Amino acid sequence: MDTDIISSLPNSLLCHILSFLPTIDAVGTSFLSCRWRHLWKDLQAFDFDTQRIGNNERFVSFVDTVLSQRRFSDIRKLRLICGAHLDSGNAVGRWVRAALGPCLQEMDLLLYGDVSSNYVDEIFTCASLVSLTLVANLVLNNISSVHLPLLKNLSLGPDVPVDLNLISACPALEYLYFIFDASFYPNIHLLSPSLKRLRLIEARERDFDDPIITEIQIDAPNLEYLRIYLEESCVRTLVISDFPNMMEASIDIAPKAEHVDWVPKLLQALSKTKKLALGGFTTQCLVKAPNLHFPEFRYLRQLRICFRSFNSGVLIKLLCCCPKLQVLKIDNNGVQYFGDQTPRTEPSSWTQPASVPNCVRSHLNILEFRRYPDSLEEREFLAYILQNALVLKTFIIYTNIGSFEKEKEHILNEISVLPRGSSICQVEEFTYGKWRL
Amino acid sequence: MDKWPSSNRYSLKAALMINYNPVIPSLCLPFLDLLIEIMSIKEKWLSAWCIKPVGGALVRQEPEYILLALMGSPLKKIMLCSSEKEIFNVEEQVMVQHSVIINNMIEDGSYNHEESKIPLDCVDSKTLKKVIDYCTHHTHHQNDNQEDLEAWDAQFLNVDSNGLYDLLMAANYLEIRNLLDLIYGTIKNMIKGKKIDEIRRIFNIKDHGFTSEEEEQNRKEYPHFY
Repeated sequence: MDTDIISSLPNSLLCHILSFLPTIDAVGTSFLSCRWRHLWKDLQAFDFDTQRIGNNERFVSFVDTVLSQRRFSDIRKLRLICGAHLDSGNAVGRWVRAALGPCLQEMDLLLYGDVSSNYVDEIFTCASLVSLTLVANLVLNNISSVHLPLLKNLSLGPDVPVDLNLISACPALEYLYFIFDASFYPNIHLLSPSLKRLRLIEARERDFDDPIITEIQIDAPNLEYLRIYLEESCVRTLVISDFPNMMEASIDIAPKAEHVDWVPKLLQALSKTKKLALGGFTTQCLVKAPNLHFPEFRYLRQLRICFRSFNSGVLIKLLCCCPKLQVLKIDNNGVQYFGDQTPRTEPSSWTQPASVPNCVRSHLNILEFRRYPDSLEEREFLAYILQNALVLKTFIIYTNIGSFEKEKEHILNEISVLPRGSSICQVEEFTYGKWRL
Repeated sequence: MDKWPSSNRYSLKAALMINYNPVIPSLCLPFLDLLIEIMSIKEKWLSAWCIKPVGGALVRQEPEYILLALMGSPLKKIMLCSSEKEIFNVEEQVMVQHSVIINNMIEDGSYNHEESKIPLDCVDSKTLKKVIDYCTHHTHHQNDNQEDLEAWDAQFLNVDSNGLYDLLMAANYLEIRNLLDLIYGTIKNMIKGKKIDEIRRIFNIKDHGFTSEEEEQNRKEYPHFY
């Protein structure tokens, strides 16, 4: 029979665990027993979300009550997910100011609606902050001064018109998550010697014509993780430092003519990465580049490449530049054929490479092919790889979700008769459904 | 992993002489100590070159492998003694990576590899075995997928509340940060989003200590918590 183990834990430990909970759940524990009645009042970390309460008036009264009953005046963490204007008094401003102080380490504000930033300036000069999230619609032009010497994590939302020199003013910054509306940013300059992880995501809030960014500059020599997602904007130039410590990079850019010029430069900067993911449009830019020359990806172990239209030539060329590749994941995101429609009958552009790429022969362990359409070029490519991949352990094929059983069987039968260079290769088949990112 | 105890320098010389085309000509061996001081060894080099020792012997993997020798033999073991006086042999590298207490003990030289065992009087054998299991898995599988690691952790913590409590005390005593956070997360999930009655059942809170009027009033005023 289990005894009440929790009771033997000290109050401070229980309170520490409560600090990981949404505050409404933490306050709810006061009903558990006498011992728990006042525990939540020792909290110094708060997480308020209107979704749990719904009604603005009750939300304001809840937060006010909780903050007024807290035992310690210092707040270490405040998270607020709510509207920017909850009442006629400046409720959000009141709470932010209560939190700002020499002990505040983390502040996350996700506010809906326009914010006139009389407290935002104070946030950017709160010197003890280690982690800051600001997703809001600021109607101010610039933040006047920035002093965040300890800031390690920064997430900025789509309508924060902040001068990007802010980044350079955070000497300890390690993680930056920047969601931006390109119409606000004609230039993006990110200079940070300390930065390790960067996510640069475009979000289209308004329905303008495809915005144009004149220049993106990323100067972060210690970067280990990079994710770039550009949905529709057109970037004229890219200035990028080399990334000798890169571990993982994922690139999704729009298929614009201007991008074809600088995508090779981007790949060169990423040449030391261990994992690389290229989106469908990114690959399209590569395919269109005249005289495409890949850098040598000496440390690349995992490659995920998405094609709008499968191009075995570019893929083989890339494989020749990845001498140690162990995992190859291909996603064919182009036109699919279902049911009785005939697959492409145009002549396949498969050409037998002059020599087997080194990685295929001696390193490739796992091959994955999503949305395999069973047309000539893909089949010839697959046959070539299976025959020459001498250490291949697993081959996973995802057929289309619309394929009939007959078709799937046909594909599997065809594949199982292909000669395999590796004796330990196992084939697994799945129906393509959800992405596992 | 920033300090290299002096015993490791001999491993490097041994490696060069026994196994292997030295990168540095043998004439330079006297300068090796100086070289080790100058080279700044970073942890990431090892993972980049996927160095795997085989058995106890130094096996040549790639030319860059010289760094393995600098780490000393990763299979050096230490002895942990539970409260029930049972001895457990564990790889030093595994425990040093996870437990701040053990790391400090080894670093400041108070532990003698030949003779001493580390007495852990607060931890019983069953719990100690589990803790060692956790540390070993996380060291050997640190390059795995996040999802696979999380699945293993979930399975690992599938214990009754007594077991969870013992693990928590052990992890706290040994200062194993990631195991502590994992257990806190589990306890937090026992509370999050659950109704009061259910939490009372999970934590076995038999006597809540409120008067029946108080309890009734709470239920009436805040029904959504129950």
